[in-house]
Amino acid sequence: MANFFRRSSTASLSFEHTDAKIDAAHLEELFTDLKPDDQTETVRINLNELPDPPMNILIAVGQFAADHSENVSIETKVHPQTAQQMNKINLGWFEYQEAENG
Amino acid sequence: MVDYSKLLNNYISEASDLLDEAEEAVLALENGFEASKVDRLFRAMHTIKGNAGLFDLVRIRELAHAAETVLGYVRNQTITLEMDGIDLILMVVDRLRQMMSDTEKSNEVEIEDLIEKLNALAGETIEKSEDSENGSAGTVSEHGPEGEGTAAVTSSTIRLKISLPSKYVKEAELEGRVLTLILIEPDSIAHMPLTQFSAMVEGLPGQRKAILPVSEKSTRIVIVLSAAEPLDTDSLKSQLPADAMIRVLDKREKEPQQEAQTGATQPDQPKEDAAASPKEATAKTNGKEKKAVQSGSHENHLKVSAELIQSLINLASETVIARNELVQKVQESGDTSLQASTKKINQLVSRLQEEIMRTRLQELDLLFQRVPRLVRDTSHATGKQIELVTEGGDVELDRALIDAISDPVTHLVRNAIDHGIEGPEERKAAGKGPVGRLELSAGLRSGNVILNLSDDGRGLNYDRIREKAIEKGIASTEHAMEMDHKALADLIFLPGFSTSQEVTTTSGRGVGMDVVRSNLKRVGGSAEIVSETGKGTTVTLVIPQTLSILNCLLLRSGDARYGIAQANLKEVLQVTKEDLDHIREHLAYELRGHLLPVVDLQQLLWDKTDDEGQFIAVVATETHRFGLLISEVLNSEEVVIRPLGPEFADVRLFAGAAIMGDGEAVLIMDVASVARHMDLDPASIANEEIAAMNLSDNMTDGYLLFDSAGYRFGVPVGSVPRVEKISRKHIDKFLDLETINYRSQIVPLVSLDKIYDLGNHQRAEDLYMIVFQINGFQVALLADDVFNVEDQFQALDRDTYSGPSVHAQAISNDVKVLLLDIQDLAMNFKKDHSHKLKQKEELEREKEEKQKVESA
Repeated sequence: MANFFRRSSTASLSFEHTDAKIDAAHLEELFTDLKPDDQTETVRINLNELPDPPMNILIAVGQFAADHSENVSIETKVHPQTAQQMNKINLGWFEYQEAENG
Repeated sequence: MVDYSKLLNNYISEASDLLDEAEEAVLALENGFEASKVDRLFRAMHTIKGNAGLFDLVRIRELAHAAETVLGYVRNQTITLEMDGIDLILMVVDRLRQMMSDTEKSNEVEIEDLIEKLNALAGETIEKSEDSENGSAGTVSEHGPEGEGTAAVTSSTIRLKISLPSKYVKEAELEGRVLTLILIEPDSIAHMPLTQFSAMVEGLPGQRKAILPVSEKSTRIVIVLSAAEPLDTDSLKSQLPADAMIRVLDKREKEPQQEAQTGATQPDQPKEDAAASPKEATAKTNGKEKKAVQSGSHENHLKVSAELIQSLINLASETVIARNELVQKVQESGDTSLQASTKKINQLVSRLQEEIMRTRLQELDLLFQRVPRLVRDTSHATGKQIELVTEGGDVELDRALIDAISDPVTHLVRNAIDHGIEGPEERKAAGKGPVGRLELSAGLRSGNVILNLSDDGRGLNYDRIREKAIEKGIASTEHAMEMDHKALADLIFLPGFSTSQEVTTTSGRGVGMDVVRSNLKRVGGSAEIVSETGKGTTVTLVIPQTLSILNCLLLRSGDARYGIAQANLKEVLQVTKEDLDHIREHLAYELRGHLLPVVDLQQLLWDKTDDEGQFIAVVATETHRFGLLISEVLNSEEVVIRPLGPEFADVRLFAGAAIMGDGEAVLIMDVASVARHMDLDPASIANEEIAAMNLSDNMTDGYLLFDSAGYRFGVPVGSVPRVEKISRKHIDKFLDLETINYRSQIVPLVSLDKIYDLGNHQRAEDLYMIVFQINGFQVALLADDVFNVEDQFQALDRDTYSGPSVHAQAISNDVKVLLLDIQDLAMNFKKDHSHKLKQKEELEREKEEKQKVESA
């Protein structure tokens, strides 16, 4: 199961391989917890344990990044296989922000 | 265990701030679309909605959600928020505030009326969006699954304007390509593994540019495909989930049509590149905001309860008292090593206290951001047009003081709009622009926050105030007629003398000007008003920046000790009884060429101790500067001010009391109240200063010497605007008053030979007149001859009385010169002459009546 913790200025959310079938309500709950507070400077999202993550997790990560990347630093770690797939289809969640600000 | 109530309190506090922000943003939108403001507004509603769910605040969530939906359209620039829409969002803000004020009952509050209006606005949005998209290049035309049951409904209700990064739109435009956008609902691919999704996407035709989230609000994603020709949508649909929507952005064919439409007057029509440009604007603003956020993120902020801070302040106050006691005892002991340690503790306690006081300081923006709404509502209610200018919102003030002045400021703003600023027609008739100007500014001076509220309205009607003062028995007719504008303006601060009832006809609003002053007074501040009829009014509020601890000069007057705030103290002078002058019944001291009004503290406080004042503490407020005659200067100390009890509510001379290190209570003087009590008038100070010029300033500028009836006189050269040579035949005489027609004005002539009874004096044919301007009227001294200006006298005697209106006698070139107090002379002349005229008139009347009786 995904686990979440907040320490000092960092909030972290790590998914595990059992989260491949995560339901919408649980996912929403996790990302609500992850919301940055006054002290948060960095949010880390770890998808390394999911080589072929479901799209709802990727969409949620993208949505979270779109909502908060202006205010906090978001560090996402994905499995090399995921990275390869994302690059192949131009699944660039952060390009949207960069293009806007550029 | 989660402390639910604490979380809820945090939510309410955060929501309250967000609603304030939202209100400010809505008001800013009245001046036109501003992407950053809409974003703030949208996010405020989004956050309020999101967190309301955690606390089961269903109605708050529903209302915020409905508002968020509308704001989503505004943000996408699908609609422009017109005045009705702005009113509606403000009503939503108000309703949410009401619900936040009592969250327990928030689920019982009716919101259907607002939801209905918001939904209607959202509905209009969809129609408008669809209308505007027909045949419009640069916006996205739809080829979605219309008419396919649920999907079709979804398509029309979630219709969004997709904002693409401008680079894709520009590239497509330059290369003459068509962009195809595929919107995919997340539910349809939720559990689809990335590899499967990847395979689906790879099978799509065209050049794939990107896969992006649609917007921050939505979790939909969009696949952007670029092709030389529009892609076959039927073929695409077969490769995509059933509820996917396909939109085509084709700028090639519809360019001319767009140009034709741009010329048409359709303000709501999305402009060319509307998909990209608003986002660009947002990005620029966001860039700035981001910078601000980033710079702020380095500071760590903690939310601390107000009670805890208050408790710390109380402890700091007690520590200061204990420190003072310790310092006093250590000094008495004479132990030098102890004294050194105490000095360190002394400094540390001072710093500790300063830092703790700083925790309560908040920017005045907290108050200022409520003013635009107030101005808007009041101006709408009164049909007036107001331009509001605020300045100094970054000035910091104790939170308790911000709360304390909130009502007075609200009242003053309403007052200014209700009664001060005229309606557009009246303004035009008065030669002013139709839009009234209201300026609220704040600044920091000598530890006080100076808050000015100025309007360019009709100003106070002094005649009406005078009439009301007589009518209410506040002043006798004679006294009222003598009162100047400053004194009359001050009357409106009296209880029951509110401007709403007395100066204009609009009804009152509960808080009168007396409450404004008393609220200010309660926190150690003051309120003053300056108004010019027809031009406007300025109300100045002076508020101490922090409460409780004050830097004081302790002094002794008679047998008692008193304190004066260091912020009010300018200097201390050692004086003797002889140094003091008496002007009429008042004490004054000549300080560097200016007469300083002096208040004898012993007399003021009815202290009968036989102890002559030896020092003058020169004090100043925003409007007054005067001296306090005191017996002894003790020391400077930080004291904790305690309010005087309700029994002393009518004693206005003191700001409070402080307990000293030795346990004795000391009263702290309220300098502004002393000035008011003594009726010290800034204008009269100015006049005194003019009078003082006679003897002091002009010692440097010199005296103009002249002869009259064989005697030599001197008048301050600085007070002489003009010397004219005249012919005796031009002097007119009527009822014993000599006048001359000078520059189309009748100027009375003062003959010193008559005033000082210098014997029968034969005037020469040619004379001189020395013209003065005294208190608004012109008067001229007649002189036989005018000499040089003298600034160095062989001898100067100020002490020996030499006659009325003679300041001093001096010797210049071995000739005795009488130095005249020209103001006193002119005033006496005016008084005497009026008296003589009256006497003469009465004699004439008696004579006439006698003649009538005799002839009858």
